[in-house]
Amino acid sequence: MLQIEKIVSNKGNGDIIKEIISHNVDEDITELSLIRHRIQKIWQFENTPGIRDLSLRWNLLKKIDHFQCLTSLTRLNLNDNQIEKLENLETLVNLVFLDVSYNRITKIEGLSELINLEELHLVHNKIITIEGLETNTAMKYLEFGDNRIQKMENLSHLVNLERLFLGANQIRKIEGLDGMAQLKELSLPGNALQIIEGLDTLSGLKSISLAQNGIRKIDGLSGLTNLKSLDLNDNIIEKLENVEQFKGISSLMIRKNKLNCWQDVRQLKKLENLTVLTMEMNPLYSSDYTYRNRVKEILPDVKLLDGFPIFWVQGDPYQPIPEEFYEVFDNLHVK
Amino acid sequence: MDLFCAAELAELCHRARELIWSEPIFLKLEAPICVMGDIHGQFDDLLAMLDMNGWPLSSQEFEALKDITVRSRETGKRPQSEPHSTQPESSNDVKPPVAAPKSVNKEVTTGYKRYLFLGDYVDRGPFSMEVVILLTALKLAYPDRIYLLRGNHESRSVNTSYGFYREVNYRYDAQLYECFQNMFNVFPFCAVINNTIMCMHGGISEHLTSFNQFSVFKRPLEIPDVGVLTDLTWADPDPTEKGYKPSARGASFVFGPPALRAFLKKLDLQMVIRGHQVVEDGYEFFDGRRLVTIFSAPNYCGQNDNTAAVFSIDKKLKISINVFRPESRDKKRGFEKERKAKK
Repeated sequence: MLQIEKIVSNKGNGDIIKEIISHNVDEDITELSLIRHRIQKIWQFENTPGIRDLSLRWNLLKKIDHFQCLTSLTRLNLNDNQIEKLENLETLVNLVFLDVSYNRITKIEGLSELINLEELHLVHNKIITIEGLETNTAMKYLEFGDNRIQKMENLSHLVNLERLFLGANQIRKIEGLDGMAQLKELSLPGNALQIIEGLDTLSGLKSISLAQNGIRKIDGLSGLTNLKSLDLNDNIIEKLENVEQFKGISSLMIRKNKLNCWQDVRQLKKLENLTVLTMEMNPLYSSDYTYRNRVKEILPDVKLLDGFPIFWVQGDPYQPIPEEFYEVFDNLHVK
Repeated sequence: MDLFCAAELAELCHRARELIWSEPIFLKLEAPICVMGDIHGQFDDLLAMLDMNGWPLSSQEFEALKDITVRSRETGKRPQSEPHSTQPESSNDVKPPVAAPKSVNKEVTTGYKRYLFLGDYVDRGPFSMEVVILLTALKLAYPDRIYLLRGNHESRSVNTSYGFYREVNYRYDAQLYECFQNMFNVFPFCAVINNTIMCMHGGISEHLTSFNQFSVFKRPLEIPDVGVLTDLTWADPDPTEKGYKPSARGASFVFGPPALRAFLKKLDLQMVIRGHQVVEDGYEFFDGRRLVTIFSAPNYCGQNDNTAAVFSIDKKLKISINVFRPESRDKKRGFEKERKAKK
């Protein structure tokens, strides 16, 4: 038996109808999902102490409270509520996964007791500073997309971090990642970057996304000795250069830049493992027929060009697809 | 473990792209047809509304699909699509008319509904991928029963921030996101039903003076920052305006009743149906009934209390409106029982 206060009706003119109900659940449940129940408040979890997986996604909670007794909790999903502060989580010492995306959080705090936390999602909040993660060294996955972060800092102590997402923020400089050799994926699309730098010690990195920035020059990638996927879509790069810095990659995305010289494309021959190339919407693209044929001629080992199989015949939605198409995609997986 | 692997979804995007690209950027459609507005990743609501209003499949087709699904589950194999298969002909699916003395003049029912969707399938709701997968799969299976217009959220610059990029990247990878975007880049921007009702995601454009203008647009393309295609995906009506004024959204314009009347007169239309804005009842009229906004994501973002709506336009262009209030679904989950017990 849980107590729930929920919004029954909200006309938008201040006329709000609420209701407090009792919600029957077995006392020995280990999972509870109350997605989209218009819950404003929920309490009496003392009656269900064994819950390990709790999802209250898409509700109307304004405050994190009443979960303190759920000490067995390993997964907590509060995505899409109206929470303003990270608090009252100290007793959840077994927590491994926490999703507080799509809320109104301004500060990362109150997580210091969650030493087992491996995955933290904070998408679409109002965070300005990366902080408050001093003790969370078990962290493997950090998602800060769509906040107001300006500086990469206070991250390098996270020695287990494998995947870091900072897309759609206000970052101007890649920094603060020294010594993170275990990092596998770094994602920074939609920021304010102009120079590729600060990546020298990321020897374990397999995938990096720098799309939708203001990058002019390909450089600063020589430390990424294990790089498989490089995403430079939507930048202002004019010249394909320093190709030897990423010679092991299998996927290169450089759509919508300012490449205008086919001679440059020949440099991609040095990339022996290149199977996936995205290069459309550059000045050197004139007609699809000419473009695809020239790429085929220069780079015969490329299997996917601009997202499409190299054999793809335009105009026929029901054409057959060979088995190797599926293999190319399997090889792209970073996870 | 997701239901599909990345390669299967990529294949779906590639095939749907070719099919949609082969249709015009500006669709000419005939009634009867249903119109649905923004979905925004609310997949369970989409299913509920199709259950309520009717699916673009007949009951026989549903049974056939069920059989295929069960069989492929038993064998563990992916149902292999026939190489060089021809486009399925929907005429084969029409039930033979049953003669009856009292219904000599009754229209022959096809057993399925046709749909036009006004865009914004992704972002905000938790199941954007499911929405796109279902609608594009239906499009490939029944090309003349489903039409998908492009919304402003079917654009990299928007869905990188609002959720779709993150959803695809988290569950699969960035390359698959590219495949979805490549497909969005060929979506059509507007449709005209029986040369009378114009449908788009956003609103009208001051610069659209003739439908012949659409021939200059070459797909694939991104939604530009200014111009006709921007207005069709971003513009809003504003009852306090007369002409066109820059929008507070930061993209495109707002337009007033006089601008709308001039637009309709110039293009010889009677009505505009568009989405793009949450409206409390799921639909809202503007300037008499010259323009109607339709929104099909109920309780949008969990914070609005809005109803969702689906329009049904019959052969004679009579419009009926089905509204969907998910609150009623809560009653089936036991809350109603609780309420009665208290009395």
